[in-house]
Amino acid sequence: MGEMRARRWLDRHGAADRPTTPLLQARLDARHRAETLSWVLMGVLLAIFVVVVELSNVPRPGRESLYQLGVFYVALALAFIVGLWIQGRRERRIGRELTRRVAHPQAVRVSAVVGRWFIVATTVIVGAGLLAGLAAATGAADPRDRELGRFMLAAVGVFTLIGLAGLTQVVRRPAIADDEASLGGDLLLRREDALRVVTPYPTMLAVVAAVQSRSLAVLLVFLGYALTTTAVHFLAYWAVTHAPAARPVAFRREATA
Amino acid sequence: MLTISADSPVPPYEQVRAQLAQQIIEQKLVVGTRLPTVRRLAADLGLATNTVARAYRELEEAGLIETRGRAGTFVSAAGERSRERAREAARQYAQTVRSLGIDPAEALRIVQAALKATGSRLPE
Repeated sequence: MGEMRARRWLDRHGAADRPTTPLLQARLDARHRAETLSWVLMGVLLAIFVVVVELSNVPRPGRESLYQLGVFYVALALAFIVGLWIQGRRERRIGRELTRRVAHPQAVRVSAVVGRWFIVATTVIVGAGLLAGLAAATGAADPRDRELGRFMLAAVGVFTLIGLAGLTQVVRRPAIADDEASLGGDLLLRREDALRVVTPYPTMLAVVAAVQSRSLAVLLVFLGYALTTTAVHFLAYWAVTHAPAARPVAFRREATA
Repeated sequence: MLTISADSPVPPYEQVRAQLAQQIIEQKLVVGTRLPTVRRLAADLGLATNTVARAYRELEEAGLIETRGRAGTFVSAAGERSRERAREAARQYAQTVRSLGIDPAEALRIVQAALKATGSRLPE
């Protein structure tokens, strides 16, 4: 199973001709277990949330689906951060078992670790989210649309903070590598994690907010935001996982030939 | 790339020091390159921070790197200037030897003897 997972990962990153290594298999297995645990944790949090909402029986007409969705996504994001933390602990244990370790001799900038596309995606998701929320909160005529704007501002703020917590883990995590190829692989794994940290939860909330809005202008603002961030996130994901130019040198075709 | 092997008989701090020194001398790490923080490099290589700190201290004493406060540790220009002075001295020595009509092989032996006299270890 570990072998197949590693093979698929290498294929996806343009290194199909590279043999899978026990280190890569162990790291991908650790990530798989952590992700599974994240999903279980998320399910538990969701179940607790549903029970609490049902028992509290607080009437919030018209907006409850949006608020509930917001809390659901916060739970999802937090479960993911916990998963990252568990994954980091397991990977450090794997690193301690290596008899040979390699590292970059020069300081690597955060932007180089997470990749240019991560910065573009984050800037658009956070920046445009704040602008969309601000526009609705201050410019909408209907008080309920202004409330939606305030909700979007708060959601973007909360998810930015959660994203920063996840990003700190991704960037500070020590490199787990025993040769140049695995050092390149470490960078790719880090970029994948960084991009998962900025999963555009506000985008999904914006779609629901757009549906609940009462004016065409607010609907267009939120839908425009949702479409733009979806496109940017898709492009960023593609660039990190497939684009040859985004790969570390050890993972480029000419280096593997 | 820096490599640390737990199986090596060479102490870890010396492995770090020697590899960094070599990369600086070979100009793979050019003047002004920022090195990782002691803590970061120690974490990446699975070493104690004291081990990396000792390697950095010795490189700093050799003039190959310099610490600029909170900005970090950088490859020093002093090392490059020292090498340039050594190259200039070698050029002058070569001209002197040639003008005196001394055989190049003998000229090299003179240099080796002078280096030995200063306590330098010569490569095999």
